Amino acid sequence: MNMIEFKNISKIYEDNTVALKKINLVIRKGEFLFLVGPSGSGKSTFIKLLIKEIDESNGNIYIAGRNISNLKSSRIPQLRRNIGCVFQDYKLLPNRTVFENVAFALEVIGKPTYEIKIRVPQVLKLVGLYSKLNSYPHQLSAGEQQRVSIARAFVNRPPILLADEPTGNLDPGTSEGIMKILSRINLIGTTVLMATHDRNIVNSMRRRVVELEEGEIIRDQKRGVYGD
Amino acid sequence: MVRTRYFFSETFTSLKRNFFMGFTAITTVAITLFIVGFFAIIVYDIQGIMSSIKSQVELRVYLKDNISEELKEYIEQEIISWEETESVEYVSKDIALERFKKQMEGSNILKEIDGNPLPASFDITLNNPEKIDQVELRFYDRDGNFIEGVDDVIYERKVVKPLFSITAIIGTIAFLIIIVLLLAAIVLIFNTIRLSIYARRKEIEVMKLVGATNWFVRIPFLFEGFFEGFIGSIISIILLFFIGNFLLIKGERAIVDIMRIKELAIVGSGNVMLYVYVGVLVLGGLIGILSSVIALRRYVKV
Repeated sequence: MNMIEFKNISKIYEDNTVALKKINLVIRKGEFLFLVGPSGSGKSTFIKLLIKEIDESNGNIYIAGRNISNLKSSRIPQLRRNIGCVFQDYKLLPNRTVFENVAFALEVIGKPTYEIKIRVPQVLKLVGLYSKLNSYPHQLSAGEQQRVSIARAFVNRPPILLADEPTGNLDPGTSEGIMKILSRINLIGTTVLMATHDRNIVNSMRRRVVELEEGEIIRDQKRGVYGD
Repeated sequence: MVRTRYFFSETFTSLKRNFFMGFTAITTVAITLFIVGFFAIIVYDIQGIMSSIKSQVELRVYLKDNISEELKEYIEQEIISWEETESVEYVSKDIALERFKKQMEGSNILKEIDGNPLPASFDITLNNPEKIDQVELRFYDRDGNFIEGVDDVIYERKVVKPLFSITAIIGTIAFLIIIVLLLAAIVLIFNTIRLSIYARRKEIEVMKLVGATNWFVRIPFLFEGFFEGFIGSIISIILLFFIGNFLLIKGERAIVDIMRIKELAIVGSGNVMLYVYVGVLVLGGLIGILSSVIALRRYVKV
């Protein structure tokens, strides 16, 4: 089953910079895909299009077979509930504890309290932070903060997880821990798409690699490496 | 009902978390609305004093010396029966002379006065001084002469007319000041609430990212804006109550003693203070919600 499909997607920003040129790409359910390429090659645009933070200029995007290109704005929240997002800067709320940060993602989509009380500890065990659920983000290391952010993205069990440079601020050892968690999430059946600069990680994981350059796909390789 | 509980608990926990911003917003509402309310009371009293000064304008009807007692009585009854008449006082020749002597004490004029040249008069106070022209006309007959027994009718024409325009000007200025104060209050409160929402744009960003609907994002902020406006106006009402009942009331009592004015905000019979309180409360709540609505329109569309 095709989880994500880009058909002739182009994105031209208002200042006329061309971010993506006629991209065609199919990502199947349960795949783990690295999106690589230099800064400005279109990786972030790719991710923003998927969560409809921005709209494509041309083409259609299908998620689980449904065309999201003409989605009504009132349906966007529903789409985002099915796509977990992890960012380089974690986007944690500093005045909430680990538990509250993760629970927040369920509260704001109207999940009942009893469900939150079950799901949050579960996902915190998955990322190995169950012992720190009452800590505040500033009391955690960078790697721990990123794991909280992954827990928040995954607590609603979305079929797709997007990660934009999740190891960008982390040292190699810590990054490895993050990759283990992402692999575990992928093993459960989640489609994972990760944009990265991190050569070592890509080379050690040996997953599908799609390389972008100036808005075009220049390489799509199964069990690939970062490239030269 | 899970959601209603979420909105309430979210409003209060967020007030707790963002204590400083909430405190600033509440203080801003309290202070600005207090100033507006305070000024409204002062302006009301000034208006009361002005209209009372206007109403103290008198019309004086001089009577001929040879007027019969019956005619004098008749004219007096006639004046009393008019709806414009607030009160009427008969000043006899003797009283008039006495008052004149008092006024002119020490002056040489008194030595030259022989007998009593001063006429008796009716001093009429009108309840609506703007009708002074109409009342004056009643002392003339069709040919434009004074009616029998009346020698002359005077009032301080020169004083009365400017007095009306001064009152109108003061009224307009006071109204403008209140409007300006109100606008300043609205802008100040709006900015504070907008700032508190801006300070939490990260929270809004995360909410949008995990798929919260727009209303789910907005409602806690609207509650918060309303709550801040509401609490702020309660505080300003308490301030107004104490300032009014322990400070302004003394001034008003003095004014009542000196000028016999009835219509003042606090000591008066009208429920002026109640209107001020209700007005402040409604304004506070409305400004709170509206500020949130406008500020959210900028930050919620991620």
